Order: sequence, then structure tokens, then C-alpha cells
Amino acid sequence: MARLGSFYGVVGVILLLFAGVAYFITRDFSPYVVIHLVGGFLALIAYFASAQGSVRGFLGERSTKYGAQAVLYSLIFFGILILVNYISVKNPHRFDMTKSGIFSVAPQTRSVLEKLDKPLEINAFVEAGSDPELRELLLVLFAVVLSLLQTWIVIELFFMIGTEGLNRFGPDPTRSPPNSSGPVGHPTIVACA
Amino acid sequence: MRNVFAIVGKELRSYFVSPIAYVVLTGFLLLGGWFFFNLLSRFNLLLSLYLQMQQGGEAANRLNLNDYVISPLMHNLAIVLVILVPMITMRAYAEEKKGGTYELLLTSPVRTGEIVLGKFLASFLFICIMIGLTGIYPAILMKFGNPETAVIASGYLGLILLATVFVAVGLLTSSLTENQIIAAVSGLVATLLLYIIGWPAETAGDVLGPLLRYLSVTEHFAEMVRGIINTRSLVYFLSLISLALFLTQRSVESLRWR
Repeated sequence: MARLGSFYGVVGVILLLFAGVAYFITRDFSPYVVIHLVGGFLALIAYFASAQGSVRGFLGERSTKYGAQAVLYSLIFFGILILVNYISVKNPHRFDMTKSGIFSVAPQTRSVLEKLDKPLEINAFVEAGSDPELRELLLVLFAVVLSLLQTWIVIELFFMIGTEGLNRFGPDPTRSPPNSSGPVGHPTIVACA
Repeated sequence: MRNVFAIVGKELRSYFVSPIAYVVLTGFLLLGGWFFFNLLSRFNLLLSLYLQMQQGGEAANRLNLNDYVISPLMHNLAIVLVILVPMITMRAYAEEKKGGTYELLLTSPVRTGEIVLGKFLASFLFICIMIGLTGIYPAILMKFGNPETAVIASGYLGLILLATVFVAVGLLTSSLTENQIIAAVSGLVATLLLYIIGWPAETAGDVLGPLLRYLSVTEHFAEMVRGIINTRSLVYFLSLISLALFLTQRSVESLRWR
């Protein structure tokens, strides 16, 4: 009976884990998540019901107290690490070690951008479908934005990229006239006011 | 710290008085040399092909030792480290548990933190020797070519940080069991998972995708190999190392009250 009780406990934890992971990925209380959640709770209730006496004894043990303390310290440490990583992600500093600075914004580009006094329009042409270069391109754009946060133009640009610019796809003007109704060769991303 | 250094010395000696160090070092350098030879041959072939072509001079100018030899070499060495590091660390705690010297170590006047730090530093130094010996390859390139030294240094920093993460994770898995095979296999699984966790990032959505990419050691390592040192990557590596060491300390400490 005790063995069956511990089996319920393990099954309960596994089902709850599956439900948690599925919800984290899908962000939806689908039947899969709900069934696992309910099943997990029922199995845990069965476990606690079948092992009432041993649970009470387990909670009073010295090892349980030390174990709980260890888990608590680990959670606190883990939380601190998450916080430190979050801060570092939000405030990154890059050091370009290449001789020609190929991963940095050139001083000439920087000075040109700083002199801009009206909303900036950036047209980017990328291959249709899933293109990893798109991400690289946006990273470069964000690098420019972050390096020039002082100017209102850049804040505008940043806003447009983050909210609207990514979804504004249209025909590639280099392949077809902008107003033609023919097939779209390449998506055009416009980040502009 | 004296206790830590005593443990470091004892651990390092135990590597070098047994065949472990020599077999691992030989295997690692043999594979590294093979990769280097092949990459350099491919580079030479490409260079000669471009130079033979009409207007190939411009294309040949784009070929460089950093992108075509050193970068792929570092990535190949990283994959070898995924496999080799758990084999180096598997014995750290598991062997002591199996041999019955673990209790002796824990009852000696040494703190748990000192034991963990000592064993970690010993494995770290051994890894540094391993990676340091591969420095002969860029040294050859620098003698006969003109690779960018700062980019090489950045790549090596990435390789050492990557290997240190693997060492810390390997020590953690070794502290959890007394069976060396289980320690090695679980260490291999954990390090491999850290290496490939970013694979589904492209299709995992807007929240999970960047998170998986951030958790992947490959992303941070690849950036450093390209010559970008990002504080974000440094914090990531140091966090993983400190987390694994903290959990190892907890795991070793738990024997006192379990």
C-alpha cells in the first residue's frame, strides 16, 4: 500500500510537470493541459491520503528540515542569478575585438545619424520565408538605436520597429513597381513614421 | 585557502599519476590536430581555386584565417569538450564515494566549500592545460599568416568559459552518484543539452525562442568566437558556473544530514 502511495506521488508530480511545460509552450489551457493538471492533483491527493502517517513523520524529521532549508537557499540563489542575468540582458555592453570593427557602427554612420532632424525611414529587403538574416538585420538596427538613445529620432525609430514596422510587408520595389498587383517577390520591411 | 590548494594539488597529481591525463590530452590534441590540418588544407584549396579564377582576387581577399580556420576549429573543439569533460570530472566525487574515502574527506578539518572549490580548480586547471596546448595551432598561423590576434583571444576566452561550465556541470553530476558511468553519462547529457537547447528557438515563439537562445551556450560561445565580447555572455557563463558549484556544494553538504 505504501509503495502504491509513493507511486501516486511520482505520477502526480510528473503529470503536473507535463501540464506546466505544455502551458508554458502553448500559453493555452488546452484539454491536454487540463487533463494533466487535474490528473496530477488527483494523484497527489491520493498520495497524501494514503500516506498521512508517514507524511507527518517525514515532516518532523531532521533531514526534512535541513532539506527544506537547502531547497530554500537554492531557490533564493537561483532567483538572484535570474535577476543578475535580467539586468545584464537589459544593459549589455559589447566589445568588438575585430581590427576593422565590423560588428560596430562606424563613426561616420554615427555622426550622420546624430545630425538627422526628421523621422528616419529604414527599408530592409530580405528573402521570403523564415530568414535568420532578418534577425541579424534587426539586431544591427537595435544596436544603432541603443547607441543613439539620446535623440528623439531614434526613440521614434525604436518604437516603430517594436510595434508596427515588423508587420508592414509589401512588394520589393527593386523587383516590381510599388503599386503593381503582381506576385510579391520579396517581403519589404518598413520601419518608418 | 591552504586547504583548497592542498586539494587542488592532490587532484592534479591524481590526474597525472594515472593514465587519464595522458590519454585525454593525447586524444584531444590528436583530434584538434586533425581538425586543424583539414581546415587549413581546405583554406589552401579555396585560396588557390580563387586565385586561378578570373577576377578571383577579390573573392580571395575575403578569405581569412579567422573565419575559415580558427572559428570552425574552435567549434569543433567545443564539441570534443562536450564529450571529454564529463569523462574527466566523472571520478571527482563518484570515485571517492565508491572507494570509501569520501567519508574520510568529509570528516577531515576541511569545509565543504573548500572541497568543492579545490576539486573544481583542479579540473579547471587541467582543462586550461588542455586548451592551452591547442594554442600551437594559432601560433603556427601567426608565424606564417596574419590572423587577428584579438579575435583569437576572444575565441579562446569563450572556449575556456564554455569548458569551465562543462567542468562545473560535470562535477555536479559526479557529486550526485557513486557510479562513475552514471556520472559521465548524466554529465554528457547535461552538457549536450546546454549545447543544443537553442535548436528549436526559431520555431518556439516570441517568448520561449529568445529564452532558449539565451540558455544555449552555443549562442554566447559563437559570438565570442566571432570576436564580440558581450557582458551579457560573461554574466551568463559565470552564472551557470556559480549555479553548478552552488548545487554541488549543497549536494556534498547534504551527506552530513541525510
